Amino acid sequence: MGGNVRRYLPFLLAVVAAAALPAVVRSGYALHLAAAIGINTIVVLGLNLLMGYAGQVSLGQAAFVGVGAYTSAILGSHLGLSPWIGLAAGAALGALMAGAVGVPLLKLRGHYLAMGTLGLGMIAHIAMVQWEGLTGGTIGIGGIPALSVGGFSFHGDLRMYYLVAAFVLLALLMASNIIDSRVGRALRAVHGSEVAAEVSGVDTARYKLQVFILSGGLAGLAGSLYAHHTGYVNCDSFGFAYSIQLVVMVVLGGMASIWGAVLGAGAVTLIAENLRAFQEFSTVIFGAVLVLVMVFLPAGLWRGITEMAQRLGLSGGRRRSGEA
Amino acid sequence: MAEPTVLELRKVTKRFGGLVAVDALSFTVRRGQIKALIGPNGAGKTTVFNLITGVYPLNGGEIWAAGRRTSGQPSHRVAAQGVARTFQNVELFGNMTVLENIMVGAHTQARTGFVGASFRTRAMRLEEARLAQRAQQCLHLVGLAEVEPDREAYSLAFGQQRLLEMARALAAEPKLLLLDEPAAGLSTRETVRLAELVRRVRDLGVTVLLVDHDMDLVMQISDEVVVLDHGEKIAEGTPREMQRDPRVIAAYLGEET
Repeated sequence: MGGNVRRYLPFLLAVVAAAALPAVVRSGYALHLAAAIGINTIVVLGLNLLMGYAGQVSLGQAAFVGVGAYTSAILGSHLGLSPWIGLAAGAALGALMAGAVGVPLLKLRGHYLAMGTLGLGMIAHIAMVQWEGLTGGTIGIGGIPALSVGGFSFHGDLRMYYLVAAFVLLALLMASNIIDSRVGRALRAVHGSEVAAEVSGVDTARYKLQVFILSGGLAGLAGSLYAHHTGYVNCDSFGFAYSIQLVVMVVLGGMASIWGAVLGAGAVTLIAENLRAFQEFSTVIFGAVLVLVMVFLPAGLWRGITEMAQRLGLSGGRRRSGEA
Repeated sequence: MAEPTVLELRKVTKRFGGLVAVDALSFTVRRGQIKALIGPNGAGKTTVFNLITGVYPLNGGEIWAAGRRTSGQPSHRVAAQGVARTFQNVELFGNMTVLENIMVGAHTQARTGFVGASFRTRAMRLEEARLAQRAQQCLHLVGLAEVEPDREAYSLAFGQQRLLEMARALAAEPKLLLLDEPAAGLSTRETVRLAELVRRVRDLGVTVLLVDHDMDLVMQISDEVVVLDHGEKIAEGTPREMQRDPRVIAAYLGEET
């Protein structure tokens, strides 16, 4: 069926591209970065559902990533439990925490919600720094075991890359399915006009909470993957700066754009990595890059690229607003 | 007049600070009626709609819709009870297509949740097909058959946006449809077609309560009229009775026409 081909072709291409990437980049460092991009993509997908689609800002998303990472660290390193339990628990705790704080927080709107989630991120970060008995404080927790199936361990950059890629592709597929459904329309309706959504029968408070829980769960999952990927977690990774980076990934890739999440996560992760050499100037350069992209591609990288491709005649047909 | 009541307001009161916007208002709408709510600017007509649909909480009184008390319930519950509405300043989902807008209107007619949507289950796909078909029917019903369903809602002309909003409301298969100034901003020709459409909707079994400033339209299509002034009901009856009522002429028609 034509519709199915149109729906699943991009995913097929993404699977092929993800599978072929190690043959192209080869170096372990590049694969390590690719896995980091994939992990960020999972967080950004959840944040994009929340921000880009449902229109609810979160400036504290790093908190949920941190919860996932510390859950995996504590269960795997301190308690010696299977990393898979850590992964499941990390995602579950991220979702649970989002559900718990979401009930009061999501009563706030617009700038107030931004302030509220900002506060959440800061409180969570302070807890990570100060609650030394649990988190190891500034020293952190090391010796987190790698994920493994039977005797096969996802240790090493190539194996971890493939595992992360599988999770990313699954998350992409599910996010895209959600958007093109009754649930996705309800989320976009909340963004478009909350009062019109409500009188159309959409329980806006419930959808906001559900998508917040989903974004928290994805962030927690990503945090767990991160912990098992690096084998070490420390509070510096989950501060305010990371929360802002995640928002930048959403906006840079493109609000309300699934594939933009990959581009945004990729661009920001690579830029941040390459600017390390510039040390204190890196923030300035990073800001300048952002300004330039926003001036020339205000709808984000993905829209910018697809529109350019359309102008060049590479792709025909109208784009439905629900897609991409 | 044995038709059952679809909507009943009992001494409904709404205050904004010191201002009494709606004062102990009572009236009923019976099944199959087209009823109009008229009154000078600031009489509280839109406020009444916002009270019926749960957008504002009441300060006093009760509202019953389709046999259940709806006052005190959130808007989405009122909608689930079979009450749909349009807005004076068209409230479409501008970030969505024409068809998607109408499909949101059918939200209460479906049940797919996050899990069903994530995995695109068979039940979900069947439901999607049904909703899309229903949305197409509504598009035809309001006379937008020639509009591309994949167009962004905000790219439509204003008159078309009004009709699209009505299609979205109808997709909910409501028992009661509230139209807030449906003719505002429409040309004379469009208003004539609107009158036909409202009658057709009524003939399909949807009870209609409307607010409008276009007296010709109101007098022509309404079975009954409620006249509001400063939040109080000053008269109620057939359009013909209202045109002769001295209080109405003094408060409203006398000033406007």
